[in-house]
Amino acid sequence: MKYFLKKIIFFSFPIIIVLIIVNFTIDPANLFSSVYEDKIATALISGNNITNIDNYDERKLQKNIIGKLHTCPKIVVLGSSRTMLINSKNCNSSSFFNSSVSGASIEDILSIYQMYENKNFFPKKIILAIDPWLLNENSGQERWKSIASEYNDFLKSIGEETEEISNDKYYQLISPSYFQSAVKILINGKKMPTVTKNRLNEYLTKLKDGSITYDAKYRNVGDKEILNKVDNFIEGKIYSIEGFNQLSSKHKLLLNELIKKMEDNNTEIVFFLTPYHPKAYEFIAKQFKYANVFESEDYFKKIAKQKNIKVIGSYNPYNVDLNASDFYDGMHCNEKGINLILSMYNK
Amino acid sequence: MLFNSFNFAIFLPIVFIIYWFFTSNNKKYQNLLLMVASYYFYACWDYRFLFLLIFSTLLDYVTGLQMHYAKNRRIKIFWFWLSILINLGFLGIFKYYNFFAESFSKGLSVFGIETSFIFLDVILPVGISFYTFHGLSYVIDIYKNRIEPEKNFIDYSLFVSFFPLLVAGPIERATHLLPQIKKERKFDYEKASEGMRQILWGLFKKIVIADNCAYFANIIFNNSEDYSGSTLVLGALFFTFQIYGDFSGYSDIALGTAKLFGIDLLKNFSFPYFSRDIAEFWRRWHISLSSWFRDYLYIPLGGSKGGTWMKIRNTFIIFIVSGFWHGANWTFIVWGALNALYFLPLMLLNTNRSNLEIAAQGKILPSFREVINILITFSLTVFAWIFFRSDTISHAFLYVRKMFSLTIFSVPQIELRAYFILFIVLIFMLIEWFGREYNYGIGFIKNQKSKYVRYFTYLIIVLSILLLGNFDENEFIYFQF
Repeated sequence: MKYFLKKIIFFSFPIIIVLIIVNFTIDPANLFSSVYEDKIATALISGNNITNIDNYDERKLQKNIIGKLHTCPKIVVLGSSRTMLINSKNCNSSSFFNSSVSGASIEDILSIYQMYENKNFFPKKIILAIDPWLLNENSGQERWKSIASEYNDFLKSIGEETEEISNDKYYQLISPSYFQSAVKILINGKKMPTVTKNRLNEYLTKLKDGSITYDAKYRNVGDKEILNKVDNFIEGKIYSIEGFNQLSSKHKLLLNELIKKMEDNNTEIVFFLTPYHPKAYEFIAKQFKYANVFESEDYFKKIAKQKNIKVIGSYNPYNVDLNASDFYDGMHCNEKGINLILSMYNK
Repeated sequence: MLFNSFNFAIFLPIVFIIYWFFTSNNKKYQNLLLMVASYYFYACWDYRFLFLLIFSTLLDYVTGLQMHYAKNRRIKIFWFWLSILINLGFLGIFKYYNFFAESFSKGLSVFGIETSFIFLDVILPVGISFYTFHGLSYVIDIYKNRIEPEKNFIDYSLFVSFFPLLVAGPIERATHLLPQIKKERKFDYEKASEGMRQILWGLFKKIVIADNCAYFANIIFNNSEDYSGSTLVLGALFFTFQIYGDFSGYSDIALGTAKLFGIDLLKNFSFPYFSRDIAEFWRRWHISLSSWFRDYLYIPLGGSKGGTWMKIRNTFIIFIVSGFWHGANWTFIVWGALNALYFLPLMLLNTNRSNLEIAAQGKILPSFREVINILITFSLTVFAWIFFRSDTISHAFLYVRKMFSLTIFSVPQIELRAYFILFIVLIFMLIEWFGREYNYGIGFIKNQKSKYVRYFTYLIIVLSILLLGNFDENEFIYFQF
């Protein structure tokens, strides 16, 4: 028995060590160092766009950028990747910053708002991306833990008890997927951020107003490939809305506290509900297990009405006259789609 | 908790260490530990359905004892049918109710009768088809006086819920598993090593073969109307290897895991894609289910003993029921019926047992005739899988029609990576070919004398998993059945 265990350890230990060393040293998503984010933040604050960026910690970048901002933007967007295309141009404002982060959970939104507040920055208007998973306690979103201290600052500020939060980024040290990304970087080299004045580039570009433009391949994707992406999106687990058994009362409370804070700070709030691709929407609408997606939309609209908050968009693409050509995939509108929704609001 | 998840990688060593270090001298504690671990394993999916599992276990346990001690035959029959009806009732409600309601409703609407059946919004409890069949075989065996009932509830409960087989089989028999549970188990180095090797190979099949093939199979099947015939052929091939890698990979991990605890489970796969006829294929694919249907359905119906019409009837019944077992959809029924059609000529010509040994046994390469037979059987199987994978019958027929259009001669419209995956599949099948006389694909490694060669091979497999695997923790297909 002991001999068997020894052999297993003898065989697996070196593999695990190699896995840890490769994952830590290559660090494809820059989880264990902030140099990459700092470089991007400096370039953006200096009024440049930055391209050729890949796999950085978007939360750490927000912390870095907000820390470096000299004045408070008049309009701020707080949301997920679904609102990253909202920019100063389609909001008609030069004092604008998009602080969206991929897969933003309620904790992300509170924490990033808190970053502004910690700097005594109170934007005039906040466009709040209301994704359906905001009220799902089982959304699986964990990335906010890299800005957990701001989350606890928020809790303190509303008189709630702070939470013990363990950051499980160290799990990535033994993650096979992280290892695959590391090996790809070893083979192809790591993308280094490149300063540019162009908006559209071959690779994903972070614009100086915090919004993004996708890489050329993503922007120019064909209809068929988009449909493939939609199929992959609805096949299996749907992003962050699995296990959506109830509208979390804790998350509801946090959202209401956030709104109250914003109101106290004289900030105009706008709810932005990004639609799903029509095929994805139809699929979700038919599944009983996703019923809380629609319950949450009703809930958001109800509190918007109570608090006199403007609502733009809907999870239902047909409510905002979007069709399949307004999407990049199952849940991301393209620029045309975002512009259409915003133009309805501007009218 | 999936076998290919981080949680399982933590769970298994913990149970293993407690089992051999703290309970190794006591069979009672070993079984209790495995039972608790199995219930925990199941509760990780959905603790609510744990009560269903425990109820089903209790029902069959009590039924077994009541039938054994019944004072007269009527009481025995009462308990027998009570258990059968409740077991099948659960299966019917959770798995088939909506299907029947919908089919009746559609059927009646043909005659202009509109009905409004109530449809149930229930999730299918994972593994229900498997543990129900465990229980059924136990009750039937006691009823037929083939076995004595198990008196120890923990032992019986472990027989039903042993975590390696709980959610997707193999479907065990009381005659095979219960004696092992009752026996003193001492750590066996050879068996444990064999288990680890089989787990490694199962993970390779699932993470590298099945999950990579699934990516392309899903794209092609979901958009079949947009693709050329040649691409659809590739789609069917991808699904063929996906389902094999997925289910046989699961079975390898299950069998390997059980070996770590000193328990041998029934073999579930035996290189089915090297079969030379459909009868051989069904002796090598999901063996525990095929043999269950043979013993508890086909033989009681008269098997192949009656006249020609009876043989035909029984063949269709067993294949259609087997198809229906996989899911409440007409696609599975057609898949079953298609296999019955494939099987029928062999049975009528009495050649269904002509290929009992593995192809090219004792030789490296098959004969020309064997190659042809393997290719024909494989093609028939690939064709049948189209019905299994399609969402609806009309989808399947459209798929087939498009596949056999003139575009079958065009260049497939698929990204380059797909060819790379097919290349990996080819290497995988070559390894399986060389391992076909063993219990699993890399079973031959244990005969390699040089430990350096052995460890190098393991290292290559681990690296292949790490570098080529798909780590999205995709569920195993058979969990849904």
